[in-house]
Amino acid sequence: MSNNKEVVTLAKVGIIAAFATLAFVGTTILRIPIPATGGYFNLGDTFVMAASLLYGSIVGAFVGMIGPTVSDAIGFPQFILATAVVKAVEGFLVGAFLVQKRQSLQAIIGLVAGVTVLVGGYFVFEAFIYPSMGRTIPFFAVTDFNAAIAELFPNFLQGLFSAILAFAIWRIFKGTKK
Amino acid sequence: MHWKLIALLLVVLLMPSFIGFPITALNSHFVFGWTDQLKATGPSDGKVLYMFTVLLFILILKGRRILGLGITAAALVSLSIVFAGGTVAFIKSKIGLCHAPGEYQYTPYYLERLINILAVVPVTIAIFMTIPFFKFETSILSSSRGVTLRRKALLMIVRVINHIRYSVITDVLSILREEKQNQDKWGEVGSYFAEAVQKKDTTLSKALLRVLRTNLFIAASVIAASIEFIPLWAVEISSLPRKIN
Repeated sequence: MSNNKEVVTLAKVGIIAAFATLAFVGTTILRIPIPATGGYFNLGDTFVMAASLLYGSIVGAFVGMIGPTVSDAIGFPQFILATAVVKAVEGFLVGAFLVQKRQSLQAIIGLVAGVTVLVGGYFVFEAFIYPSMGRTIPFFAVTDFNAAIAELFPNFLQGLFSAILAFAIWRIFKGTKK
Repeated sequence: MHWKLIALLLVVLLMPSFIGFPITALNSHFVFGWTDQLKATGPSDGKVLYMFTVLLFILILKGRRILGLGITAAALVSLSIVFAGGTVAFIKSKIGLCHAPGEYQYTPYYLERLINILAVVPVTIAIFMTIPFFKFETSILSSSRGVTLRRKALLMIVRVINHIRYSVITDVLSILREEKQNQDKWGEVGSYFAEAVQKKDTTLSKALLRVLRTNLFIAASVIAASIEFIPLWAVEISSLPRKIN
């Protein structure tokens, strides 16, 4: 690997580590639980979405897969699987629409897709996948269809707040990023 | 005792919170003071005993300082979980917004979460404090046979985490403390909400905007401080001699 490529690779690794750590801290510090499902409301998604907008889909996917998942391990381990999948896809999609730089509309489309994946992804896991897995592995028997319905609104709020903050962060940093 | 053995023991201690066993095996309720409602839906004795076992082992393996740090962190983390969560659930039940039966029984649920957090957070912090991250950096840099790309990446990850852990978080907290921005901003936010509720000249949207602005200020400062040195470190680490097989 040439030295320049190595520098770029190492910088990307550093960015992923930084945003994943921030997503972990952001997810862990402010947690408002939702008793119906055993999940919780947090603003860690801000860093996942911001990473994806600023550094691209791959970085966003890794940040989403690592940071919030590690946070789930502390206190909410039953959600590790759902978080890893949902947040990775969310992180990937948010930055995927940003083809031309400095395009606010593309960023907003990406964020809408990210929020949709966040809300829809957790709903699918909590309403269908977890109850089905829970029949053979009791560890996953924490939610059902009604509980998943109850979590739709908190998840939407979480996604909305995070998306607004991420968009503002992207607007602040996009002029300075090289 | 070697740090690897301590870390292994702590990881083993953490396992029951993931797999459930043997916590769920002891499902009785004889803890003094448990009400009928708590006995029906609240934390079992297994969970309470697990929490005390975890704390005792941390005291033996890591000492009073780490145990104190763990309990303090757990208390801080549980603030939003127990009090904010409990308050939200209480308000929702009062105004009839509960869609699931679990939300009516908020007390046992949040007590269970508190006990869970009091066990899991201290042991996680104890594991984190056991691993000598600085030694990793020194051992990688002192290698006389060159460094592979994988170890360079590991060095970058360790450096970034250490930077955020020891520099960024403490700096941001000290800035907020020194300038009293934390209190003032949140006090301001509180007064905006109070005014909005009383339908004075301030609207709720203005209060929400203030909340977003405060969060944005903190998030942008933290991101800028966290990624500040990454380009420099990337160049520096890539210039380390490559490993020759």
